[in-house]
Amino acid sequence: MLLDVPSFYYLALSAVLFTIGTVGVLTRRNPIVIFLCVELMLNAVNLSLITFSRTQGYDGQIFAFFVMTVAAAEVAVGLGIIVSIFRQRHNIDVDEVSILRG
Amino acid sequence: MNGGLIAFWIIAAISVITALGVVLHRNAIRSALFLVLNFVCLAVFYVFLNAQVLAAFQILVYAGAIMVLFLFVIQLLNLGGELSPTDPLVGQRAVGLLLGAGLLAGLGKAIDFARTHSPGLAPGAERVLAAERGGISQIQIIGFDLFTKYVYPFELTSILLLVGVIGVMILTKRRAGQGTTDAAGRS
Repeated sequence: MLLDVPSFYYLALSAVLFTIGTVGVLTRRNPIVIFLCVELMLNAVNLSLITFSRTQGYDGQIFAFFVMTVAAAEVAVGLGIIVSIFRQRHNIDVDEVSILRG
Repeated sequence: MNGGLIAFWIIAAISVITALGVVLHRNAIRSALFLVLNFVCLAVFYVFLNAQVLAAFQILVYAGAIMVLFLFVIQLLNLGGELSPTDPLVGQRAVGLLLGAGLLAGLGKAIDFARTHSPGLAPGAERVLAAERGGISQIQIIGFDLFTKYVYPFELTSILLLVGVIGVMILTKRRAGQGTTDAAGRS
């Protein structure tokens, strides 16, 4: 192997990135930033899937591929929702749109 | 300390700093640009982990397509600035940090357990090693698996994307008599 770093290091890094993303989702109120933090969490999980695929076969890489596809669909729908909320009330603070009615 | 470990630590530090930048920065555009940098760091890790195909996808799909969509919407809606400064939910930040610390502790314990109880190489790993030795291209194996073993999930993702496209069209469609300005090219 070209760069022999133990898998454990990658898993620890993945856990740190996932936690940073979770704290961002819990504390920020701008929905765009919340989406960015969700992307961060998805990527942290992808990192651990690919780490496992090094020792467990190619299934992890294919799963990461599916995660990317789902993330793309999720971003498209989420940004569509943000655009349509913004069009109605010109303010998208998540605490003020907590009741999901137009 | 060998070269691989030094490279790992440098890029890990960059990726953690950029992740913190995403969460802590007031400006949504800068958060998005920090996230692009974080994705590039992860692509480098994928190359380290011998997953070159996924590294290419990471750059093309995430750093390219998805982040452009994000930046486009931020600029379109002019969301760069911060929202109202007062915090209506009292103690949200403290509780969030507390829950994050708990999550990190739990994940750390799980990783420590996995490190001490390592199952070793799985049967599937022989294919990885054989491909590396025999010089079989990785995209060949992944493509083969995608269209044989995982053909049903693969087809389901196409339906998912179709549903996503139709859903976005319906969500952002302007109903009759609602608004007057024409905004073409919404995501």
